[in-house]
Amino acid sequence: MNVPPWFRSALAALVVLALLAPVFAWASGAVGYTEPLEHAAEATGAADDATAAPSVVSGYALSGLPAGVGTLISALAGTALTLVVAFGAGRLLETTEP
Amino acid sequence: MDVLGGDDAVGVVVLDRRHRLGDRVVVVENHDRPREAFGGARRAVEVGDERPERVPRRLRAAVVAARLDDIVDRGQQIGGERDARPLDILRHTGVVFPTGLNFAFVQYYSPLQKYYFRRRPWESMHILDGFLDPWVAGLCWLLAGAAVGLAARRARTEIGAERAPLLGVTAAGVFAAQLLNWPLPVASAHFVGGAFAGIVLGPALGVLAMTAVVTVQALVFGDGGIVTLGANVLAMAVVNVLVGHAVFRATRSLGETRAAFAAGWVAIVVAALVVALATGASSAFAYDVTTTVTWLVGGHAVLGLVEGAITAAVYGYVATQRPDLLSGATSPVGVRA
Repeated sequence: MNVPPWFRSALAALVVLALLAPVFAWASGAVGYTEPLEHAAEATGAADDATAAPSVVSGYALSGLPAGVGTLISALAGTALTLVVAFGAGRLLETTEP
Repeated sequence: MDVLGGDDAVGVVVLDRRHRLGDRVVVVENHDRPREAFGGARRAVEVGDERPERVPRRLRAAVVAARLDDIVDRGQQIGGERDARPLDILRHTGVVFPTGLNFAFVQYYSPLQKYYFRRRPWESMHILDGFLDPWVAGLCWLLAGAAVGLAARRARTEIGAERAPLLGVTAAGVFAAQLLNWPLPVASAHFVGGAFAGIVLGPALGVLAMTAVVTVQALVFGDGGIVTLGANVLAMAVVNVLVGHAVFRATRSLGETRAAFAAGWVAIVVAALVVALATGASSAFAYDVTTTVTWLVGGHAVLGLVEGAITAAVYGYVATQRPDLLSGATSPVGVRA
């Protein structure tokens, strides 16, 4: 596949980012991670209406695996999948000349 | 039934008709409609319940403890108190260690915890299914769809040489960066990255990159709803990108670092406003637009400083190391030279 010379180091940077995911998950858990949308939903009662959408993996964790490992695998797989999807979309756009 | 986290840990089970409560687990909290469940006669499953026939079809999930002996007494003792939180119960049993560290470990690291373990079962700027009224969700789908369609059309004239790999790497980088939840007290946030994508890739490719991110998050990881995917794309992949790009262009004369910071900050606040208006217009949020705007815009006005700083730092790094990659944003902005 035709990729520019900087592509390899970009991939390395992506792997490093993914490796950080379990660390940040632990750290944010230690302080009780809450986003503004949560506070708004709690304040208005919307919390009760939240439903989890059907998805392949729920919440970046894999059942049967230690949580940190699940987060890490999710991060690596999700990052790779996003790369493939966006790269693929770009290549597709290249081939469909306007 | 899966009891997640091992024999001696608490965990979450997702119940459906195939599942039965066994003799090793006990319901600690009914997660179907927590308020109703704790507040009145409609309680579907009793706290402390372990009888298989008591699991109704409508109950989707329950917090359970695998160490029945440890939990039953305390659970039944505390079960009648309306405000009893499962973790309060569990912490008193020794099932969850009473230190903050282990508390957090179980709270955040149990598989499926994101949606089922906590009383507030979600943690994201991503709008979950159930949050938006149908017309709001539909309107967001329309607007997002139109914007992404236009972006794809325009991107065909912008794409070339190294842009497709850069599109892929930027999207993947944003996906990975969004997993890094910055642990800030009171209200936390993760990098959203739309402004960054808009600056680096230009508006059209930026929209496509962020659409890829938000879509993978929703469809593969359940981060954000399906019905509400339009709203999430609109906020994070369209508004965040376009506002970020526009602010960067408008403030560039002040210096690129400042412009990138301003773009990251302003774009996240405006994106939060979109989320606030969409949720505030919906019945789940009791049409309380004042509350949603206050929390989302107010919260992200502060948290957006982190977004701005990261945007400026990463943009600065790319601009120093590989200015050639930024051609889309640096010459006539958004258009390849």
